[in-house]
Amino acid sequence: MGAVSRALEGYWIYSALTLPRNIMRIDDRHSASHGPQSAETGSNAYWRAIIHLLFGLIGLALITFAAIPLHLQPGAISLLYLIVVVFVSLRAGFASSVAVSLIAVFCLNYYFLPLLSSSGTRNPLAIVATGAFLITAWVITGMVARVRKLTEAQLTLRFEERLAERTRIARELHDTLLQSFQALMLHFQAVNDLLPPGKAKDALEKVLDRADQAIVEGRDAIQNLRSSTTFTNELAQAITALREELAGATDGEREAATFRVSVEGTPRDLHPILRDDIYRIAREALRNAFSHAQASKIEADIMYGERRFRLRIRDDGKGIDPKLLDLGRSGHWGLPGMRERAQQIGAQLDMWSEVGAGTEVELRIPGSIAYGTSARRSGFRLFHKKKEGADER
Amino acid sequence: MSADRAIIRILSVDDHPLLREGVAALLASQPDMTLVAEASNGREAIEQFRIHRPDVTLMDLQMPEVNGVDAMIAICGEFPEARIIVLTTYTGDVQVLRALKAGARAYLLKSLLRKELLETIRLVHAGQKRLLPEVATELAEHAIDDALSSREIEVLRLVSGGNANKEIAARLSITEETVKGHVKNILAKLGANDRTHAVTIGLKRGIIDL
Repeated sequence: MGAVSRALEGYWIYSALTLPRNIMRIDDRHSASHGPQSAETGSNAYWRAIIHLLFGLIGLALITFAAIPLHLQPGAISLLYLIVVVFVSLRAGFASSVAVSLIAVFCLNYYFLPLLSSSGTRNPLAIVATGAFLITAWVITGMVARVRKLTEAQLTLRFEERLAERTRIARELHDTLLQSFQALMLHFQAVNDLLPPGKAKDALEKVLDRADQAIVEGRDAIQNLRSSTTFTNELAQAITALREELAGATDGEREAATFRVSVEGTPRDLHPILRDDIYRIAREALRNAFSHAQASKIEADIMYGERRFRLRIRDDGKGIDPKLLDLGRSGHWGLPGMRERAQQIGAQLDMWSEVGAGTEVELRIPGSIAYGTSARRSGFRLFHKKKEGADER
Repeated sequence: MSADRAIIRILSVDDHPLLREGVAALLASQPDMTLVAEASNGREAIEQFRIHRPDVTLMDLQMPEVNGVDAMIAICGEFPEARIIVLTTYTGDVQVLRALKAGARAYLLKSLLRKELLETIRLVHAGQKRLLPEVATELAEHAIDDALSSREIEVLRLVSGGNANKEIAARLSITEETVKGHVKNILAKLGANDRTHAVTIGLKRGIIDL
């Protein structure tokens, strides 16, 4: 009994933390090249919802048959039933939850609180209790469905808003700052042409070359803002490509660390905003590893799990002082930035480090957020599965 | 008269005054070049071209009212000998192709103006065409790709504006199914994973701009 309730509680907390978020529109995902894969995960999700419904029913049965010999009060039993209903509404959707609540009412009346007393008269207490149970169960179920819908809408809106805001900033930067700098360079060149050959002219020429580089970097940064950091959906490729950029950051005397990227599971589509943020977190973590840690080995593990996406970056370098890790001394190691980014996308970021023993950074994102599909969403349609293709935002 | 012929007469078109000033400053130091007129959009560019008949025109692409490509089409339609150099911030094979088809003789990035502008003006004036290596590479990369149809570009532009299929269908007066078909084609032609990715590629290659 204890184990069962602990398991139920675990599920419940997990569910509450991973409200589904529908980020991508399903129709395009089906028509794109990854179509078969997403269809497959769709049916997986469908089966998972059925399994959760079965879990719910088993939970009901266990509570019922454990409660009979224990002579529990009907009130306590209905509370336990309510927990099961809440679990099912979180894991398997609205319709399943209503069905389970009806079965629970039936069990309640049949075993513990007969509607008709032995003499054949109606039991008013049982009628009131049944009514109260059903109302509570359905109000909770309705609220769960509503919160879920709102959260989805809100998150989609937030992603869209951020995309729009980024585009606006990029356009502004391009129209003002970048254009002005490019124009100023022409002015400088005109001045340079006026200078007589000599030290001053050479020095100015060198400075102008550096400025050219800086402007090109700025331009690329603006273009990245305007679109997306990683043009390939393969996060692993993008992270592998970081090596060349970052290996240059190590001090000249030391040999560059060996860098290995590994992928577990089948790579899945991630929302571009999310992918960008994951990429930037990885970049920051790797930048620390390459330029501060004095590591000889750096590893990046990407795991596309069924339930969650995980990114882990490890080095065997000198480590970060735990005090620094907690405080995240502003402006250093980019730690606050990484935390902020992780929080924004609903991810969990953990860091372990000890002086002399290397550093490990782990980013975890629930599958429902990372892949934009969820078990619960399909489960919601457990009773009208055909509608899936018609989903439009 | 023969001394005059050696001097290259230039029209500078850009909506950014500071950039026009910079071009002017750079040209001022060149004895064989003179800036005859300036324009801040495509419409003015066409007017100024008619008045001055410059030897070489420096043309920005993104401008208010009439953009650079439309201005070039108008100018080249009227004066097939017009020698126009495109000055812009971004590459993107489709944008380059569009500019060349509109009649541009050279395509210069603004980040390289300082070193390349004067030489390019002289080359184009001498009747040559010029593409910088990084622009040429990008052209070569997509040379054999299927181009998007004008309808597909329209759909992609609406997708980039954050419109759902239903809204796109309403705007273009076509059915939602047709829009879905277009989106599917766009994803296939661009090699995109989803519509956001398609927009990204569209921006990068200059198929659409914001």
